[in-house]
Amino acid sequence: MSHSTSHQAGSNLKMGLPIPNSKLGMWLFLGTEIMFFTAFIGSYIVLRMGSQGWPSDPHVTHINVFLGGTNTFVLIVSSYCVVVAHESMSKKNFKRALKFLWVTTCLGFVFMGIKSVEYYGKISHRILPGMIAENDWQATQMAMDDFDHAVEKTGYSDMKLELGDLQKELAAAEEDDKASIETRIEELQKSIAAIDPFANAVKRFKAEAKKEQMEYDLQSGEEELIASQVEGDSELNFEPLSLTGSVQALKGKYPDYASHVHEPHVILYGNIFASTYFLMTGFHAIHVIVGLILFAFVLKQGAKLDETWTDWVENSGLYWHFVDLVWIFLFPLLYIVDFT
Amino acid sequence: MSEAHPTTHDDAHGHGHEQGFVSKYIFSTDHKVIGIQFLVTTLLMLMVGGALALGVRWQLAFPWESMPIVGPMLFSGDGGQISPEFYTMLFTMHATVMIFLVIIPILAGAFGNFLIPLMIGADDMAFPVLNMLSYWFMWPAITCFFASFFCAGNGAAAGWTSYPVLSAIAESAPGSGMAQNWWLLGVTLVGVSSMMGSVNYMTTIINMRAPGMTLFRMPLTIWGMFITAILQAFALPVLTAAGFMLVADRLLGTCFFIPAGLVVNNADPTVGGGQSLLWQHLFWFYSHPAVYIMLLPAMGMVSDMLSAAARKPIFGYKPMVYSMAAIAGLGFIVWGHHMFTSGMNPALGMTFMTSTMMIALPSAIKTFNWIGTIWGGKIEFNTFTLNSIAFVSMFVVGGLSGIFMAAVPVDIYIHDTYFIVAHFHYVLFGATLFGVFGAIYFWYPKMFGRKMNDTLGKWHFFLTFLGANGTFFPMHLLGVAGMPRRYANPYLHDYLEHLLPMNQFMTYSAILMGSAQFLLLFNFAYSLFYGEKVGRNPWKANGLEWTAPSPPGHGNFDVLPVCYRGPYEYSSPLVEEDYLLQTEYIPPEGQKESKEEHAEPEHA
Amino acid sequence: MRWFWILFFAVCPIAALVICIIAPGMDWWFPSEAGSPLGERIDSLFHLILYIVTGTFIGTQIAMVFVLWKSSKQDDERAWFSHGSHNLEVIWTIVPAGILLFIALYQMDVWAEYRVVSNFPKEARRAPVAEVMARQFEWRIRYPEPGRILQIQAQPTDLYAVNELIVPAAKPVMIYLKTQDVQHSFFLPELRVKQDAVPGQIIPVWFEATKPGEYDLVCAELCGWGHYKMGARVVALAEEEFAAAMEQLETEQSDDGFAESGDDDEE
Ligand code: HEA
Ligand code: HEA
Ligand code: CUA
Ligand SMILES: [Cu+2]
Repeated sequence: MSHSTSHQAGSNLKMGLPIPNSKLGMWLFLGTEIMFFTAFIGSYIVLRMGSQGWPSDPHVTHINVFLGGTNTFVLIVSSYCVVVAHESMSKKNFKRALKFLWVTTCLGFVFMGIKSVEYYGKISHRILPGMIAENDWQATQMAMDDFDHAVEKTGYSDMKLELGDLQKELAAAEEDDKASIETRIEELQKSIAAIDPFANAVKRFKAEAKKEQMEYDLQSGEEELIASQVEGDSELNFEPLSLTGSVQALKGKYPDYASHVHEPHVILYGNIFASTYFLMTGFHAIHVIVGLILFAFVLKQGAKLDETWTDWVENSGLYWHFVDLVWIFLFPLLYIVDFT
Repeated sequence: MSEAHPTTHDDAHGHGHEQGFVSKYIFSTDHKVIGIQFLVTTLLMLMVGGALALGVRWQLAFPWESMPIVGPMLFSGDGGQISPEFYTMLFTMHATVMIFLVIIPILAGAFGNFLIPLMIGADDMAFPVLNMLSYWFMWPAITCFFASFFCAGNGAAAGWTSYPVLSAIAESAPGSGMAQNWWLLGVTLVGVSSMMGSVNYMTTIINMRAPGMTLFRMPLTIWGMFITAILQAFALPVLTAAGFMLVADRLLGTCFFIPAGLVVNNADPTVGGGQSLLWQHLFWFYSHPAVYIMLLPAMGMVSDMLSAAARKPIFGYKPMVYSMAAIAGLGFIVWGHHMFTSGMNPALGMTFMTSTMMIALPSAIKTFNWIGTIWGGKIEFNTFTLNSIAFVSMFVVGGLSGIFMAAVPVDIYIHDTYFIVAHFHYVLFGATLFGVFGAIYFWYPKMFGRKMNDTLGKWHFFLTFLGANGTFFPMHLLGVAGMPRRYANPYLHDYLEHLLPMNQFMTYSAILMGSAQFLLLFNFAYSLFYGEKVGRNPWKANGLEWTAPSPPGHGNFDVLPVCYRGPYEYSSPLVEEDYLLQTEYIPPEGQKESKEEHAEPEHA
Repeated sequence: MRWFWILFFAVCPIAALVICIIAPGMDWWFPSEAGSPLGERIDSLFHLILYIVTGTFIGTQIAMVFVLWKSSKQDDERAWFSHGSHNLEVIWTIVPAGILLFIALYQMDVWAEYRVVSNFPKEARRAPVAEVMARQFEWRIRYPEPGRILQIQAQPTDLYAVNELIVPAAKPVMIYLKTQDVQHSFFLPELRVKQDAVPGQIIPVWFEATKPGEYDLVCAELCGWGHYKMGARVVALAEEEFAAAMEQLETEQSDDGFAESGDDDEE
C-alpha cells in the first residue's frame, strides 16, 4: 500500500493535503474498512434485537470474558508498541523500532493464541453455525448421525463388505491361496464380532430415537415459535430430551467407540449466536493476520532497516490501530452487553 | 512533506527504457491504457448484456416459441424454448452484466481512469499498480459471473437483488446448483475492484491536482467522479459484507438471513433465527447509492459536454457541485424506498418517502442548470451534443417516474411491476448510457488522436433514441396495467392477456436498438484507423486534458500545467476566441472583471 | 439538419403525451376500476402525481426545445457569457421543493391509514378471515371454522383451500399473510393491494372489495422458476353467500372421507 508514491516528484507544487499519498490512501482505505465492520456490527445488533432470545449463559456458550478481556489488553498494549516503534523510526533509532515491532508482533501472536483457545472451546462443544440443535427433533437427528459416524469410524461396514468379498473369493480360489484368505477371514470375523455389540446397540438406539422423532410434531414446533413471535411471549419451553439418558449409557458402555459422540444438547437460538460470533471474530482475526504480515515485511529487514520504511511502519501502524479499535467494539458487544 | 518513500517497485513510467508489449498494453500501469482497457471490455460486456436482454424480450413477445438460431443451439432438449428457469437466469444475468460489468466500470473504470489525471493535471494516478490491479480484478469477476451462467449451463436465478431466502437456500432454486455461489463471488470481486479504484481516485483527486487547480476549479466530471468514489468507498463494503454473510449461509451453515422453520421444497425445516429482511437493508444500503454511482459521473461528463457544445459557461457551477454532493448525501438515507411493501415499520416508510422526495430536489437543480447552460449559447448539433441533450431529456422522464414510486401509497400498486422497469431503464439506459455514448464521441479524439465519424454517430444516436423510447416507454403502461416484473409468461393471467401486442412492439424496438449498437462498434473500430486525424483540441474546449497531445504520452503533459481559472470560460470577453484554456495566463492588465480568477497556487 | 434535430426533440415528448392520453381508451391503463377504497385513493393520488409530473415534463421539454432553437441560430453573435443567476437558482429550488413537499405531505394519511396496524378497521382486526400461506408456487388458505376465531396456530377444526380465497364483500377484511419457504408477494391488481410475504413473519393485511366478484391474485416477488404462474383468485361474496360458502366448505371437508379432521394436506 505504501509504495507507489514516487510520483510526488514535484509534489510541493501540487495542490492537496500536506501528507503523502500513501498515508491518505491508508486513511481512506480504513474508512472503507470501518463501513465493512459497521455492516457486521449493525447486522449483529439487528439480529440480536430481533431474536426472541439469545444464549447468554457462559456454560452454554463458552464465552469467556476473562480471555476476551485479556485479549483486549494485549491488543491495546501492542497498539502502544507500534506507536513507539513509529516514533523511533522517525528518530532514526531503528534498533529500538525493531524491538518494539517484535513486541507488537509477539502480542499479535498471543492474541491469536488466546483466540484459538476460545475457538477450540467452542468447536469441541460443537458450538458451530449450523451444527447446533435448537429443538428435540434436531438433537435427536444429530445424536443419530453421531452414532452412525462412530460406527463408521470403526470400519465396521467396510470390514463386512470385505468379508463378503473374501467369502466369494474363497469359493473360487486355488487351493494354495485358500489358507491366506481364510486367516484373513478369521481376522475380520474377530474384529467384527468385537464391534457387533456396539453396532447393535446403536441400531436399537436409532430405532428408539426414530420413534421419538415421529412423536415430535415438527409443524407444531414451528407454529409455536412463530406464535411466540406474534404474541411476544418469549417463554419457549422445550421438553428436555428423553434420549439423553440412553446416549450417556451408550457412551459409558462403549467408551472406545463412542467417546466422540456428543450428548444431545438443545441451545435455543444457538445457531444465530454462533453465526454472528464466528463471523465477527473471524473477520477480525483475518485482519490481525494481515497486520502481522505487514509487520513481517519490516522485521525481515533486520539490521538493514532504514528510513525508507518509516511510512510503511506508520501506515501499518494505522492499520493496526484500526484492528485494535474494531476489537474494542467487538469485545463488549459480544462478551458483555446484555441487550434485553 | 515529500520525504523519500520506499521506491521498492520499478516505476513503470521509468523514462527512457523500452517497454515490451505486455507491460505496455496488457499489464500497464498507465492510467490511459487502463482506461481504454476498461472501455473496450465494458463495451463488449454491453453486447453480452444486450444479447441477454434480447433473450428476455424474445420470451415476452413470443412466449415459449423457439428462439431463432440461438434457441435450437442452446436448448435443443426443449425444442429451442426458453424454460422458465432459464428466463429467471436470463434477466438476473442481464442485470448483473449491465450493472456490475457495464455501467459501473464504464463510468468509473473507463472514463474515471482516463480523465481524472488528465483533467486535474497529474501525470498519473496516485497508485498506478493498484490501478492496474483494479482492472485485472475485473477478470476473475467476469469469469465467476460467466462460470455461473455459461459454463455450468445454469445460472444464478434470484434476480440481481438476490433476495434471500431464495438465494440463501439451494433447494429453493434447484436448477441453479453452484451458480449462486459463483455469482456472489463475482460480486465480491467487482467490489474489490471498485474499492481499489475508488481509494485511488479519491487520493489522486485530493492530492495530485496541478498547481492552481483548486477544488472549485475542477471540472464537474471530476466532481462527479470524486463524489462517486466517496459513495463507492463507503457504501460498497456493506454489500461485500452482506455478500460474505450470504455465501456463509449457503456454504457454511450459518443462518444470518434464514429464519427457523421454513420448509423449502420439502427439505427438512431450516434451523436458524436469522432475518431475511436484513439482506434487503444491507443490499439497498449499497445499491441505492449505487444507482447514483451509475449516474453522477455521467452527469458530470454531460455538464462538460453541454458547456463545450453551447460555447457557454456552465450555468450555476457551484449549485451543480452542491447538488451532486446533496444527491450523494441523501442517497445514503433513502434505501428503504425499495422496501415499501416489505412489511417494514410504516413509520420508517414515511421517513424514507420524505427523504426520497427530497432527493428529487438537487436533481431538479441540475436539470434546470443544464437547460440554463444551453440558453443563450451557440450550439451545434454534434453527435456528442445530441447524446447529451438526450441524456437530459431521458433523465427527466426517468426521474419523474421515480416520483410516483416515492409516493408510498402509489408504490403499493406499482412496486415490482413494469413501471419500475421503465423507471430504471430510463435512468440507466436513457440517461447514463446516452451520457456515456456522448462521452465516447467527445473524448475519443483524446484517446486515439482521431475523431469518430459524425454521420455514423448521428445514425447511431437516432436509431438508439427511437429504439430506446419504443422499448422503454410502453413499460410505464404495462406497469400501470399491473404487469409484474420477472414474469416468464405474464399472459397466463387473464388481466394481462391483451398486452401481448404491445410487448411485441417493444421487442421489435429493442431489436432495432440492439442493431444500432453495431454502428457504434463499427464506428469505434473504423475510426481507430480511418478517423479524421485531429490535434490537441478538436472541440476547442477549456479543460487541462485538451492541452496534452492526442493521444497523450507518458506523464501526459509536456510541461506541468498550471491552472488559472475554472474550466467553463467559454466566450469570455477577455479573449478573441470563444474558448479560454484553463492554463492560459492573462496578465492583470487584460483582466477586466473578476479578481479571484488569477491563480495563486495554494502551497507555493 | 438544425430543424430536423429541433423537431426531433420536440416530437418525442409530444408522442409520449399522446400515448398517455389515448392509453386508457386503448385498454392500456389500469386493469379495471379500483375495486376498493384504498384503490380509489391510490388511483386519485396516481392521477394527481401524473398531472404534476406531466406538467413538469412538458415544461422542461418545451424549455429545452426552446433554448435549443434559440441557441442554434446561425448568426455571428457570441454566446452569452453568464455564470448563472442567483435568483433563478433560488426560484427553481424553492418551487420544486414546494411541490415535492406538498406531494410528500398529501399522501401521508393514505399510507398511515392502510399500513399502521393500529389504524386498521376494528371489525377487520378482531376477526381475521383467513391465513394465507404462500409457497412455491401456490397459495394455501386456512379459514377458521365458521363461528370461531382464526388462531395463529393451526386448529384441528380449521378449513383449508388452495388458490382460492373467499372473503365477504363490501366490508373490511383482514388476513394473516405468511410464507412457508421463500419470499412472495400478495398482489391484487384490481384492488391495488400489495404486501410481501416475508419468511419468518406473519403480516396482517387488510383490504376491502367494494363489489362482489372475482379478483386476480398474483405473486409479485420473485420466488423461483414458477413465479409467473403463481396465480390464484380472491372471490368476494355478499355477506350471506360468504357464510353459505364457508358452511359448504366445512361440510365438504368433513364429509368426503380423506381429510376428516381438516388436517393439512402436507405430504
Ligand atoms: C441511475 C439510476 C437511478 C436513478 C438516478 C434513480 C433516481 C430515482 N429513483 Fe430509482 N431506481 C433505480 C435506478 C435509479 N433511480 C433502479 C435500478 C431501481 C430498481 C431496482 C430493482 O428493484 O431492481 C430503482 C427503483 C426505485 C424505487 C423503488 C421502486 C420499487 O421497487 O417499488 C424508487 C422508489 O421511490 C425510486 C425512486 C427514485 C427517485 C425519486 C429518483 C430521483 O433521484 C429522481 C430525481 C429526478 C427528477 C425528479 C427529474 C428531474 C427533476 C425535475 C424536472 C424537477 C421537477 C420535478 C418535480 C417537481 C417532481 N427508484
Ligand atoms: C445499465 C443497465 C441496463 C441496461 C443498459 C439495460 C438494457 C436493456 N434492458 Fe434491462 N434490466 C436492467 C438493467 C439494464 N437493462 C436491470 C437492473 C434489470 C432488472 C433485473 C431484475 O429484475 O433482476 C433489467 C431488466 C430488464 C427487463 C425485465 C425483465 C423482467 O423483469 O422480466 C427487460 C424486459 O424487457 C429488460 C430489457 C432491456 C433491453 C431491451 C435493453 C436494451 O437497452 C438492450 C439493447 C441491446 C444492446 C445494447 C446490445 C446490442 C447487441 C447485440 C444485439 C449483439 C449481440 C451480439 C453479440 C453478443 C456478439 N431489462
Ligand atoms: Cu411467489 Cu413469486
Ligand atoms: Cu433507490
